[in-house]
Amino acid sequence: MSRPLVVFGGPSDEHDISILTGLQVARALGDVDCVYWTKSGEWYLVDPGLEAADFADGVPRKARELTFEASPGRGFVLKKKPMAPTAVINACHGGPGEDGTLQGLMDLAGLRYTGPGQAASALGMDKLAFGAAMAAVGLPTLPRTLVGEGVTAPFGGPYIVKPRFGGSSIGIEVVEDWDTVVALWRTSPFMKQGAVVEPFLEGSRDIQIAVRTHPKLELSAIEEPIRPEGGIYSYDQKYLAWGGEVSGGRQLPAQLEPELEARIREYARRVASAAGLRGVARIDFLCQGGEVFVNEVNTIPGSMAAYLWIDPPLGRRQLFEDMLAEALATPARVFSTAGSDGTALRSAGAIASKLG
Amino acid sequence: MALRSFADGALFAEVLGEGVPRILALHGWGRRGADFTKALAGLPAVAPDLPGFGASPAPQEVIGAEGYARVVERMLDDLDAPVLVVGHSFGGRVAMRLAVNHPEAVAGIVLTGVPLLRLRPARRPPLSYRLMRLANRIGVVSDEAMERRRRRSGSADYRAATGIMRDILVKVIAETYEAELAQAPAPVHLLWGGNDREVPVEVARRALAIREEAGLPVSLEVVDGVGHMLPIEVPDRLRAAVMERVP
Repeated sequence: MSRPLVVFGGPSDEHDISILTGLQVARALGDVDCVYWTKSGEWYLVDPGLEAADFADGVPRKARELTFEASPGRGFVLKKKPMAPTAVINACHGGPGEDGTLQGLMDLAGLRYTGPGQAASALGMDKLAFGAAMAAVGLPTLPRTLVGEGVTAPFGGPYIVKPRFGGSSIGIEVVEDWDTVVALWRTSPFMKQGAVVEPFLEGSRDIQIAVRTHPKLELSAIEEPIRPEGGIYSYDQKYLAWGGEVSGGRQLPAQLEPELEARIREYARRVASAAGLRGVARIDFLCQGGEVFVNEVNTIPGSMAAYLWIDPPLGRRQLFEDMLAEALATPARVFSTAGSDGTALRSAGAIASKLG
Repeated sequence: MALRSFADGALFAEVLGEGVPRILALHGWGRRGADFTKALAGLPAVAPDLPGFGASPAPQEVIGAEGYARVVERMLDDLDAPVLVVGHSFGGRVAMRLAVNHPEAVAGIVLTGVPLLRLRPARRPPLSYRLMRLANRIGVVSDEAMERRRRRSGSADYRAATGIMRDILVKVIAETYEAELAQAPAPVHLLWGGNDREVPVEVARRALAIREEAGLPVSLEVVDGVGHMLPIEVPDRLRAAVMERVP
């Protein structure tokens, strides 16, 4: 019988946290298939009733290996038979599950899925491109530049250096001077695919808000995570102390001036549209004094940012069901072949004649 | 709170306080320099991320505490030596090597939760594990199966370590520091958590005896009710011990 399929895990820094999100979604929705994507990239059909600890040492027992075929009507294949899910609920965080790679594969296989499509997913994961896109539509952003050989300091320190690609706060560092920025970019294993740098705003506040796009565009309550003294969050603080998303110190709802809150909400709506968000996403802002800057977007946030939907209150199950409904209502991507009706081929003559 | 690079980018360090640092703080395995941010706030201190932790790149080859000390010594030119070296856990082993290699640059040492010696001889792995390892070497047991077994029987540090850091961990665990204890001329202050289960106070007591027997300056202070993460659990106690001794 055809049913929704939840996919989680994946070759990503956030592999473990994705398992937690995936199992939450599966448990809340009930009748679903679960596909576990391993750290090394294999696919397995697993029992939706498994607990997180069952994945602690890799593939759980009794898992059945799947293949993925990127041809129309194929997708997840069990013993040569496509699973044909009604839609895929993508619970992958970071890496190829969030950066458009998996989305592209699912497009090719003709699958419907939650979250943004391939291009918007890729944009959300590229801090340089995302920042530039937001600036291009007139949203306030901090100057963000690519670090590279021979690049001189574009502004004064201290700086915050981030891996150009990647979703978690792994690899993000605050540094004093430009020499350290360059040294970090050269040596950090997290910055092999590039690093971006922006000014570090002393005393700034992090402000986060979730947005969902179905049944209509809606914004969650606003939260302010409390930073560790003088620093930024690490992966540890964000994730490892799992009691989950609620364990980090935070103010929810954040205490904000009404005018500031209104501005953040307006910006969040504009980001949702400009970045092509779909499903549930979390948008991160930086605030300093009365100024607000769009910082990053997380297109598949941990636990689908369910904890942020307190005002108006929205249960997890409803949130996940709405995401699923949106995916079901969105046709699989269709690629255009207009203009390729064979005319050019018929009149082309021999290829050899083109080489001369 | 912001990082600065040292040793041509081999080390990234938190620089605290004002002026040229006179305190060098070395963190434990799997931790980073920021562990000392609270304890040493405002003091002229520098707390590097040791190679393979935090922002500092992993070593190219398998090194032990001696190798780590050789990397850290490249920072000495940027410090106002002689310095007070603070070592937590694995960082204390590096501190002891540094103090032996560079007695002129180390004015004093504060150690907390440092596995300086073994209380009982290391156990051999169980026979079943050794057989499996042998079978893996000759290709009868797959690397994946071997890795699963390693993960099952290894410590949390071992399970968390990947690549070269795992080999480094195996190397440093095998090391003991009785010789360094009997050699380093700088005064050693042992500041220990009374509830340290990773490295019990007994280790500090034996280290104290070794130093006393060698006629070298040493003191021991046990903080009741505190565990292995003393620099984070009671930063004020570490701060007080440092301020008494900073040159």
